[in-house]
Amino acid sequence: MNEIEASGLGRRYGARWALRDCDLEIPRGRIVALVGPNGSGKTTLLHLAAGLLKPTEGAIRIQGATPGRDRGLTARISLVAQDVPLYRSFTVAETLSMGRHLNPAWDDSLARTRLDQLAIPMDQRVGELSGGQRAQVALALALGKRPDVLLLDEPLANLDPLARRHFMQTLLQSATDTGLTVVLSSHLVSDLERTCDYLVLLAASRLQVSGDIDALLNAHRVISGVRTDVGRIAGVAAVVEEQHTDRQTTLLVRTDGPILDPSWTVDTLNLEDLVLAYLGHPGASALPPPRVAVVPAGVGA
Amino acid sequence: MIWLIWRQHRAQLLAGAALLGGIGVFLLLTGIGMRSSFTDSGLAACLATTPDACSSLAGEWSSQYSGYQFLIPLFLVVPALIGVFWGSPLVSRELEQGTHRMVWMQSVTRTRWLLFKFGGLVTAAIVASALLTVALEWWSNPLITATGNGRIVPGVFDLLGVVPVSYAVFAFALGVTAGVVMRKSIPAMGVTLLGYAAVRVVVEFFLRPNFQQPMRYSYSLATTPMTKQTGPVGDWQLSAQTLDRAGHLISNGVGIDYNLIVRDCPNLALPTDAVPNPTTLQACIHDAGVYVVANYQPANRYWPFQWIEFALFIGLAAALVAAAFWWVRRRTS
Repeated sequence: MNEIEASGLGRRYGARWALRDCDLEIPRGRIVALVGPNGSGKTTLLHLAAGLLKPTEGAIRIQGATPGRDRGLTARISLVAQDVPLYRSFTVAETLSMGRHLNPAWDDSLARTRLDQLAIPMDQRVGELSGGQRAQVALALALGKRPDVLLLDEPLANLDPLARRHFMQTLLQSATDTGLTVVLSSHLVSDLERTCDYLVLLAASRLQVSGDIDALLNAHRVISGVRTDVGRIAGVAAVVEEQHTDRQTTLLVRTDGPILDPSWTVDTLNLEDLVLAYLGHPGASALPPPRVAVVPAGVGA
Repeated sequence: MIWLIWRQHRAQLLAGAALLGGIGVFLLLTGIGMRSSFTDSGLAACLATTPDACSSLAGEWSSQYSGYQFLIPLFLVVPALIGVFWGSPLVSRELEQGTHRMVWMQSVTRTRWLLFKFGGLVTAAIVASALLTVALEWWSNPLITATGNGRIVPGVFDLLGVVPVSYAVFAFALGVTAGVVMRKSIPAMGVTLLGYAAVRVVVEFFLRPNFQQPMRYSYSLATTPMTKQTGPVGDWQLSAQTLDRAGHLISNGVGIDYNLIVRDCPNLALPTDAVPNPTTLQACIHDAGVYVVANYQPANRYWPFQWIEFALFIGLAAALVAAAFWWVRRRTS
């Protein structure tokens, strides 16, 4: 069974759909990059997964259970919400104390060891910490409850580049240590490229790309050749982006086989190129073929 | 959960305790002096033996403490303070700072979280207002006894007995619910203050006078001696009118309006500002059969009224709390 599954998932605020027609299947243990421009529905998707929001239509399941409804599931999901909310008047030690009092499966030594290694003073008030330290405290609180799924909403915003790298390293280490499934949202792809192995791309409230990052990169190529009107090219399933100069045509394509035509020079691309190409062309999509849908058991209010 | 509630709200609770302690010390120090002078002046003994003959002594003694009488209304704002400073921020501050998304992701349901938060602070509100009421009962006893004002009279009724606790619970619940719905602590505080004041005014001036059918009394102005021209001491007089035998209005209140009584006695018609001859007036009052009629709530309805009002405010509070729980479970994210 997949760790996170969504089918036909949608959430409306008044007349505006924040997320619509979202079908997802994320296997256990993946580090998922949830990417999209501001307002594309990332936070809504994370809050639906955390059970803070109820879907307007469709369903989302984590380990086969419905977040926010099935008892006990909340204990297995952690969320670090946007802007890293913590009680600012609490000291670091008191924040961990809260975690211990509110979570039956709390691992105090795990949380403490993490923060000790980062030299974050236990008796300091959370409001007096730097942004990077505060994010680390929130991560320690999230990991201390020993979740199976960790959701992080733009945890890197407001962090300097060094703190970002540090945060991602410590996160990756705990994830590989424990087999945690992590979903991490950001509008900056470069932060996620080194760490994540699964991509979920949202644009304008809809799912545009989802899949294993290596497989996606393997299935996409940049090809260039003498300027031409683009017709059928063997091995190309779809053209995502096309650019023309006076003399040259460059295409970013999704492939369904090798491109052997000698008139095209074929290059690989990186995650950022891929994401930017799709974001620039909302009509294009790369989604796994639809499978038997999760039965939406009772559409929530 | 109790650990969290205490850690999170201890500053508010300690500030409230300090304020309550300050009031308590003030009441204790002034109360001891007031009680001993009440006994030493002979007023206590006088009121106990010959209550009708103490008015000058009582007036003298009360004038000494007239300053304190002005203090009494200040205690009326205590429930509003509880609503504004304990109730309104309880949930709204979490929603404002986004910390509800952190605390709701711990392994505690929202309902349980709100239950502990609400339960913890409402208990503190009940204890605080009960302690203050007990202190005020003790402190105000000589003042109330000396003035002869009944405990059922507005301003005194609201500070004693069981109603102060129900006001505190209602104000607190109003604050919490306003905070849950409005999601911002400052506007919620304003709504709590205004809402509390509005409900109290409506109950005090429109509902409480009619908790039970008011009683009526009347006496003849012509035949009743001056010293007996009052209702029983300690009642709550709602309204009074002076009428002639035919039922025509002579005055709104107890007294004579010369312009109206002229109808009965044309010989009283006088140039403006002239005062009629007392004998002629007395004869007219007699001939016209002028009498006073008043509506009042008797002093012995104090406890039934206390419990009716208590039930009313607790009922309102329960409805507000139910709305807050529903809203947190269904609407808030």
